[in-house]
Amino acid sequence: MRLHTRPDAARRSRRGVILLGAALMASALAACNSLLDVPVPSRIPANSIENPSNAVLLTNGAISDFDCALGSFIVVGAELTDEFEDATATAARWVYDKRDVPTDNERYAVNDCDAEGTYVPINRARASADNVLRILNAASDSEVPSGVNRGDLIATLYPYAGYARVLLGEMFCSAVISTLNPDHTVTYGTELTPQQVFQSADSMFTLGIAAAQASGNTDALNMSYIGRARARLDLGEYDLAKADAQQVTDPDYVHVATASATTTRRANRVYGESNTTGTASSVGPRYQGMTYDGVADPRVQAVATGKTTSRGLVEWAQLKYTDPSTPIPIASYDEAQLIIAEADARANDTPGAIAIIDALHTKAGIPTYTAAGGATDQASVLSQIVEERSRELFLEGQRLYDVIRFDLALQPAENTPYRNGGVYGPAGAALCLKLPDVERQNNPNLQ
Amino acid sequence: MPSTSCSHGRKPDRLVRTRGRPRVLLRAVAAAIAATITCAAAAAAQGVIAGTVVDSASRQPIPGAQVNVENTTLGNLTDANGHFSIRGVRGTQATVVARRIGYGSARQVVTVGDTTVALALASHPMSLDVVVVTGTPNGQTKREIGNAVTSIDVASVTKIAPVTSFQELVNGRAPNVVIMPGTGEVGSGAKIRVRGTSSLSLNQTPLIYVDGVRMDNSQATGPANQSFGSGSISRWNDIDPEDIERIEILKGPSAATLYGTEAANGVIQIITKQGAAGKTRYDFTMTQGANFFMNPEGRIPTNYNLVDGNIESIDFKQLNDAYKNAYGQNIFRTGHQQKYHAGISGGTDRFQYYVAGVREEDQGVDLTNDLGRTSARANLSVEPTDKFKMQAHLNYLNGRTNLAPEAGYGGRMWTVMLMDPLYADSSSLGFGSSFPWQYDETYHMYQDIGRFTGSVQITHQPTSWFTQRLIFGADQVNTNDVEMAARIDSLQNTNIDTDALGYKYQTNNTNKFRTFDYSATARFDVAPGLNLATSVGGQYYIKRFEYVSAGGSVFAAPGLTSIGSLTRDFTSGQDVTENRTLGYYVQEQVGWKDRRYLTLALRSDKNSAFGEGFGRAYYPKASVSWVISDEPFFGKMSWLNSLRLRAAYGESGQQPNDFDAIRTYSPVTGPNDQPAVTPGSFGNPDLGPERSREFETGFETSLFDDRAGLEFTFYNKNTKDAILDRPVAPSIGFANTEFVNAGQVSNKGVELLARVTPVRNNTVTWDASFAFSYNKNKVVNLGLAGVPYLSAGTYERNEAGFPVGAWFEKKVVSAQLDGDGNAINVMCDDGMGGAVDCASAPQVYLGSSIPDKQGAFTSTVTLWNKLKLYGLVDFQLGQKKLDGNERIRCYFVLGGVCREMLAPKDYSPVLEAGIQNGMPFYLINDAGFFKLRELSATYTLPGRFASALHASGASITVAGRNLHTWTKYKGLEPEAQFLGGSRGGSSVSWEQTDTPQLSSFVATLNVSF
Repeated sequence: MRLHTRPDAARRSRRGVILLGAALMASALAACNSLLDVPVPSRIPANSIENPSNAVLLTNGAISDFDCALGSFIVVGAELTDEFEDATATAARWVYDKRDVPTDNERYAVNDCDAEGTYVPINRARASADNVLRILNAASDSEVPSGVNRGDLIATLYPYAGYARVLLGEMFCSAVISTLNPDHTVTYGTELTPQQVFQSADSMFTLGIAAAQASGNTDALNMSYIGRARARLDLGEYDLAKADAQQVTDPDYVHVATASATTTRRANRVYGESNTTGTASSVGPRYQGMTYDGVADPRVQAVATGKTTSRGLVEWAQLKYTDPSTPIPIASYDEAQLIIAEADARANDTPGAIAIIDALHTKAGIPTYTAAGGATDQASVLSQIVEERSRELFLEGQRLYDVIRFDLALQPAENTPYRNGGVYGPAGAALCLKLPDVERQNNPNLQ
Repeated sequence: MPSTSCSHGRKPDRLVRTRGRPRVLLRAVAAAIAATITCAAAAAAQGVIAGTVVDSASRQPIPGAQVNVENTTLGNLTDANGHFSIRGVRGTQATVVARRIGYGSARQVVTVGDTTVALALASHPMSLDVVVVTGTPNGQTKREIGNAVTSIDVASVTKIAPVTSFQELVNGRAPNVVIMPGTGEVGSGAKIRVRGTSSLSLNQTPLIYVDGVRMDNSQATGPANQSFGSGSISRWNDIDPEDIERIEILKGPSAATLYGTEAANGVIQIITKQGAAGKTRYDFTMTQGANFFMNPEGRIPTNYNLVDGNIESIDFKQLNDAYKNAYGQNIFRTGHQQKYHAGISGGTDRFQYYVAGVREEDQGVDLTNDLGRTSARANLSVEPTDKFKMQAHLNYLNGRTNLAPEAGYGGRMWTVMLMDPLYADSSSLGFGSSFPWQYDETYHMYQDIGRFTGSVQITHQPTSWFTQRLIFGADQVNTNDVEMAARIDSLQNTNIDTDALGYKYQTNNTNKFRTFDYSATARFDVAPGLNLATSVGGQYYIKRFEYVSAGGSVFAAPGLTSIGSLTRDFTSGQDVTENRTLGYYVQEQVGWKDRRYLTLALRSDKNSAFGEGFGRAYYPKASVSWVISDEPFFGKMSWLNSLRLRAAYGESGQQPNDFDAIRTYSPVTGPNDQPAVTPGSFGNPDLGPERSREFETGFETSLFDDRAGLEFTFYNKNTKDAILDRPVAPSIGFANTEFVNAGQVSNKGVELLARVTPVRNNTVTWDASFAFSYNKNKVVNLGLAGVPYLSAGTYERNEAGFPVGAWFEKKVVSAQLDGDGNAINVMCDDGMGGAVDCASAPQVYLGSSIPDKQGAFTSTVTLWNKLKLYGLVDFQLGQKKLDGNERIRCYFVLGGVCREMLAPKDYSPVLEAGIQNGMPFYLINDAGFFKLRELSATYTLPGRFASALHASGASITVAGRNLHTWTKYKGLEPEAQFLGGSRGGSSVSWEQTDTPQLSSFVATLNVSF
């Protein structure tokens, strides 16, 4: 081999250079692992957090996922029904308003709760509650931090797991419940009818009732009873629903989704959609200036903002939620009473139902049904209960499934031209949202 | 100074000037002889070699030529007069080699101490002796490399072409490097794609190195509103073309293997200007010009509506006249373009410097669109000993870019495109939404930038056969993105609506890139004619993105602009993502008699984003290069000057996004504002890099006395384990997508570069070139069972057998109109050649959204070595674009201000069926185009004029840009890209109320002292 320099000098230099290079490479290799460490300041690896020592944090997470999903569920449900009309120039939102949502629509299928998404946030809420329940149920009391009552947390979580299922069943024509396993694999669910989803919810509330009774958690107990009553109402099991609703005896009971102005995710979504300074969703004509027997009904408050959209929609803002931190009821004594009233009416116990309606009117400060001369036949009373529910539970996420289960006609009717183009879709029992493509195409059990 | 005299041998010139004064002449001759003897002795003692490099045909000096002493690190650049000087040469004789892009090389054995070396370079359209950067120390000559490497002689381009940004510099000058701007707003950036689209979910952006240091290559930054628009800001355009000496483009994995993970999209090397030994040179460049919207009256469509039962119209001229009468201004202005560049360069044999400063101000046609920035650069080179060379490159940029609302965000284009005759006589004057001045006063969106880039490169050659190089550098980009609406109470009852209450969202970003690069090459002459070059190297890269954001809405009172004065909807955020790569390579090159080369290499990388279940990534490479025309058996043909054959195979990769491999939770605020967590990324522990494998082969030839050159390349690139952003079933409860290695994408094509000099004499030189590329892009498979396609945006999908992001939509094939003009009996394409009811019809393939053919023609005519007439026409063909302007005008927003909606019976039933059913298949049309992109005339002022300015040289250029478009596309701008735009988001191939590419005329004065 011939080099450009003298052989001896070349050999010495080459040896030195090779040694230097080898040393550098060896140093780099040895340091390899630490050199590739990167900070993860905003994300928490699942392995480090999915354990009972984080029980409170995980439980808070599941509740916050539900609270956020609920806000979006109410807004989308309101747009689908007659509670809201869309006042934006954002064409992607109009599919809700005109009740014509294709299964590949990204907004309802993919978006999160702060962007009118529904399928994703509701599923996340359900999966979060299920996942934390799995962790806590598999743990012992000694594994959770001292001062934390594991049973109390379990009792708290079950109704959230149940309510997430109720929302799924009420909004979607069909749904899927998949399971995250401890080894991070997934057991995919199959397509379920709303009735199957409500039955699953029923099971969760039943477990919740047992857990609440065991831990003495009255709030969770009431929430589970009302939740199960709602699920059973949705299932058409009116007597069972009434029995659960009657378990709630505190007339002031209400369990809410808290809200605050601290972050967009925590803000009251309904208020954000519709208030006197900004009206993306305008209160529907049915609820504008609502009165009962000539007296303004305080349960449905809305005001004209004085603005008209470029498409001629006169904007009305809701006043039920007055700021971003106004809580949203999830379960309440009044709802329980309406469930009892409906069960009574369906059982032709119209006096019982009317008594409840009258009591609610008195509470609201408006003339009673009886004083207003309301008809007492079963159909009329049942119809009045639908009306009462639309008022008492205004913008609480109940109207959508009422429209479905009572097969209510909505205005404008199907095939009426929509003001921004196209026509209105069906209402009544056909109003549910179809299972989105994103679930159907990516769930191996549905292919 | 004596040294100057010694170095450059200028005495003869001075002697000529002293003619007529004999005594002076005599003294001068004596002094010259003495000086020559003295200098020669001194030069020999100091090991100096100096001389001049000239063009062999015109005898004009060649500045910027690289002159090296063979087998050493010693070398220097020629100065503006073609002079060079190299000090520290050992021995009595040495071989010097001069090279320059566009020329062949000149090699000469000289005596050490000779300061009158004359090297003549012949113009060579396909020179094989140009040294290019390849990842190894000192680079390699093109003849050694088995790949096509495109070099752009930027210093020459900027002298004649109206280029103000990096993307304009590259556009049309490199085959298969496609520039895709989103909008014509000044300061906005383009997507840059090399050899097609390789990934289905990851960044398609090539790596960019400036003077050996990896840079922030983000092509889509800026205020958040622009995620809804198209005017995003590219970091590529932070580099001022005036500071660039040349650009080299390694187009694919076969060339970029040594750059490892992340290099699958190609590597673009930017080499900035260096000083040359010699007297100090001062350069000053001033540009003044105008940006304007070419022919808005003829391009913006006329709108219609029913007014009192009649179809009335309004066009842009009517609208503009009404606006001008009412408010005294045009809707679109003519923007002022100005730029000032000053540079100082020079140095000695041991120390060279280039220091420059730039101030640039550019206005768009929208009153709120402009940019202003200032940058300073210092490039220093020191050779403390014969064995060490240190180079430092420092650059700082500061400026602001103001972007105007457009696309889906409203703004001028929106309110003009939706003008409505129904309101022409009302207070709205017919504008479709707000008045332009209302947008101007309300919306303020801008990005402030402070960017420092610095690097140090140390080259050490302890022996003649061994060279090692260490580079470390940093690129730090601090940006402040602001999206703000001012509180203007008087506008609350206009279409500005609640935005007039005000809002502000601000994000401060800090992007840090760090490079540590060590490499070494040992060269051995194994036998006569046979040599080996062994290279090893290790690189460590860190890139870190950090942001802090805050915002909210409703300012407490008019005039307030701080976030602290907001009253609602507060948001805040902060995050850090960091990625690190540690990799090594080894390369062995075997050379035989400077005409046959075999190169084998292996690269190995580990990246912090790889999943735990994935180890190291290995990328092999092999290439051959054969200068067959140098073979003895290759007969001498007078018309063929050189021919090289080459072939290469190589692999490279692209790492996943940070944290895509791990399952995570994200912190959120919980009930009663307590701490909480929510499911984040689903994660994939087996996630590894995408792997791109590429084979390329081709040739370069120089013909007809080097008057013609041809470079041809065929390549076949396959990306396997493509990372797919696969949606997950939401029922699992985690985020919407997970990343998996599954897909396969193919890019196959040819590249052609032809250069020809049909005329070359003392009076006229005509140079012309033609660059062309064809790329067949195809998704080979998605690798996901049961998933027929993945959405790539609205009406776009990734599906096996079709190009990436292909257009798919239901297509009406037959329909009828009833008496009211309503489409009935509408039938759609069933995808199998038949027709089916549209309700059950499939979405069918309508075409590619990305061009498959791209190229440019350039022509330069030089007259009397003084006047250069230059033009460039570029083209992109084969792509289809959705005319979203027509979509919103006809049916999507207001229910129709296009005539087709009002008089359906005047149009085809199929078209009406599409409009009335909201199926925009008829809007997805051929968007291929040819553009007269650049046209200029550059005149080099005669010496007496330059002398009058006390300058050594001066030139004036008058130029135009974007002067004409030939296209079948019926929309406003075939290059426009809506939603996501250059951010790479969905719907990238739409046009919707984007500002079209602006036209401009500029005049540039160059003066050198």
